[in-house]
Amino acid sequence: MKPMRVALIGNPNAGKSSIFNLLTGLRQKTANFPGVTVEKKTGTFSVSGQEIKITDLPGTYSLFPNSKDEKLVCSVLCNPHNDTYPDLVVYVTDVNQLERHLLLATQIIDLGIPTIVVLNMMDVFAENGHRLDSHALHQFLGVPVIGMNARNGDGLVNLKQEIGNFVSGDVQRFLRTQQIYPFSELETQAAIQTAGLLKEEINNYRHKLIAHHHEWMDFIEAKSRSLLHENMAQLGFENIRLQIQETMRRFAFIQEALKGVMETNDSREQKFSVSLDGLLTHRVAGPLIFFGLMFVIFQSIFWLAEYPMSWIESAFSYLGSQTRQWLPASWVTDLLVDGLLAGLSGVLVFAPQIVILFFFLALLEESGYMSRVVYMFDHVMQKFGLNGRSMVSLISSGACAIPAIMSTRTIGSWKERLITIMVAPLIPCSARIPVYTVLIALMVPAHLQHGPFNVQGLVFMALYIMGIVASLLVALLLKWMIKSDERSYLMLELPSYKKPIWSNVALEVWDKLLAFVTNAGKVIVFISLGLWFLASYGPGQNIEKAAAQEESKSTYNNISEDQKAVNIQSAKLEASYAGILGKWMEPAIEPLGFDWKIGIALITSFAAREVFVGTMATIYSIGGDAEESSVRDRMAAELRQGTNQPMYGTATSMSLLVFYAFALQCMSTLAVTKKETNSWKWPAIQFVLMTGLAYLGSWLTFLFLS
Amino acid sequence: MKTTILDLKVGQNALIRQFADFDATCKLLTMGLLPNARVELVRKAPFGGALYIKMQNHLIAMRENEAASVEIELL
Repeated sequence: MKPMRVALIGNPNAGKSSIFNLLTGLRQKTANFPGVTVEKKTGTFSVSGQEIKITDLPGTYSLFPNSKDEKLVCSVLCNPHNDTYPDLVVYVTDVNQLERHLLLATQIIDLGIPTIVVLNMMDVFAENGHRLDSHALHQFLGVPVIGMNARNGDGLVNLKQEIGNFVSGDVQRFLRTQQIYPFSELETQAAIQTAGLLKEEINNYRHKLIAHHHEWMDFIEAKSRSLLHENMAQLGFENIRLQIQETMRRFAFIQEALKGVMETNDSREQKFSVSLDGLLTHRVAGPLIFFGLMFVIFQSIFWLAEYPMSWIESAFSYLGSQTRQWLPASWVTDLLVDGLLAGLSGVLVFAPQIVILFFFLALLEESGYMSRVVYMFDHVMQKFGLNGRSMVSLISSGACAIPAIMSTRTIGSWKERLITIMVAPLIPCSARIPVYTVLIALMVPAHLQHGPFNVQGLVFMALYIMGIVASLLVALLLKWMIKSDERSYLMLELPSYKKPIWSNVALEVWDKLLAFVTNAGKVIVFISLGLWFLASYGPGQNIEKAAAQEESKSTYNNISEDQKAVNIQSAKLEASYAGILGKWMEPAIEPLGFDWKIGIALITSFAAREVFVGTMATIYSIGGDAEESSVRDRMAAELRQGTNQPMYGTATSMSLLVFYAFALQCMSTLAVTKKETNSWKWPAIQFVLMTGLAYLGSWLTFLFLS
Repeated sequence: MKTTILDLKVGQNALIRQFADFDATCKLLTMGLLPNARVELVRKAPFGGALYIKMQNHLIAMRENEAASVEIELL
């Protein structure tokens, strides 16, 4: 039997995802809707033996959409052939905001899709002394109405029972006999003509919506689209005016119906939120508290993540040495240890930082604070061509640009969304930390103090500020370059402050971690395998010849066995494909103070910058041991070819730091930008812009410092 | 000149009358800004540009140009 499809629909902040989590638990996964990058959460559960597939659709205010997310919901509900078109809608409302939340409910009921209306957050409602006559509400809506409290699971049994009624075939129970919103003559004509043109049996409200939205609904064929366009113009079907008229009349019906149904007075939550915001969004205290909070969060990320990160690293190096013992020495073992295990370790080592950051972000989001950040900084962000909502993305970028770019979907204006996507990778992400650590340690002695401050820490902070300033400047540049007449809105709901629901936070963190490990993981493992190949093989017999040459030279010079092994390793690398590539690009990077060995690192870390440390380890032949301190010691001892100058003097190290701060060395970022902008143009511009900035910055740095 | 939400002083209440901006109207309506609804200006954003508005039982933030399109009657 085909699994039954249920869709969860509701306004933002109605508590949809809590109910989704209650129904599915861990039996859920996140993917994208085919062809678009709107996040699609699906899960399964069963009611009276029937397997049910449930989709959590993005939060929506009405079927007259204003954002990408809302358009998606509208096209799903207007197209019975869509894969996600539901057999049953579970419509979630916040009962404390019932009037507004019922607008979309009445639209869905009028579409003739079987519906259950859930009144969520009944606990808060009751605590405030509000009262509701659910029988009368049921009379008005004509479909089952269920009170719930997703926080403790109250009412879940009733919801499942009602879904069970639907499963057992009592469909009429979930349909209203008449449309709530009666059509005018014009609207009836529009619906009839639309149905006629599409050669479909008439469904009044669905065809009216298609009459409104045919211009952008992609399931309508181009031919029907232009016919519809002509017909509606002839009929005098004024799109926007009729949307406004319908919305106003629906609200009038809802207000009228709720008059006898609901008794409300001022809510405590709202009073509390308004007075707490007196502090949290205060002219002076608000921004200060925000920056303080960010400082604490990022400090604790580095501090807390340090321990699990070192555990993961030592676990992998143990695993590597064990593998070498168990397996005979062969190229397969090399591939496994130096390629695959090293690559995996490079990915998983970031998992603790990702988990901690997303824990804090989920907390800020769940509690309602994030909307306040959007509100406070909207005006400043607009000066840079961004939106208040960009703040959320830019903060996430401090961990990883990939989820940050994905979170721009909530920005309605295409231009503001695009600029946010383009500049997010300039914010220093967690992958830059190991590179910064190694290079800063080369330039600045560990215990150097400047007043009360540790100088290494100050350089670290300077690099962060440089990244933030660069992203704002690039945003400014793009603001001038990209032309658009599209309107941009703030119009944002500020939900009441709530205690976070911990299971929601945990599931959110788990979801993000899984996405990071699978997405970034694939790329990094792939690259480390490729790098291993390039560094281990060369054209013809070159590697063997170079090794033999070095061997006889070392023997002749009477060099110790250890040093001999190191020299041979180095010579082999120089003769490999990777060495040839590095030599080939040396002239281009010489002005920046780099040699061919750094060239190899630049190539390998093109795909993922965190590969830098591992590459340096391979190049300086420290074997499988890629600990940062040993890489640093080896690099510090390196001399510039043909001189007695240290290779990594301040000028070269600083220049390399600037390069890594700006260059877009992350294949996953390019891939996600391609997906989100749906073109190759923007990732290409992003890459050229950031790499150009990196080259220019490094060149100037080296010029001034050497 | 019609009075709009932008003319409200902090702490002042008003009733919504109508909308001047045709294209933004649907968006405003779905956010609960309905004719005859009561609005209060609670505060302004730290760096300006946006307003913190209290409706009957929810809170919203809007830009100044959005606020300027909502005509009101002072209470």
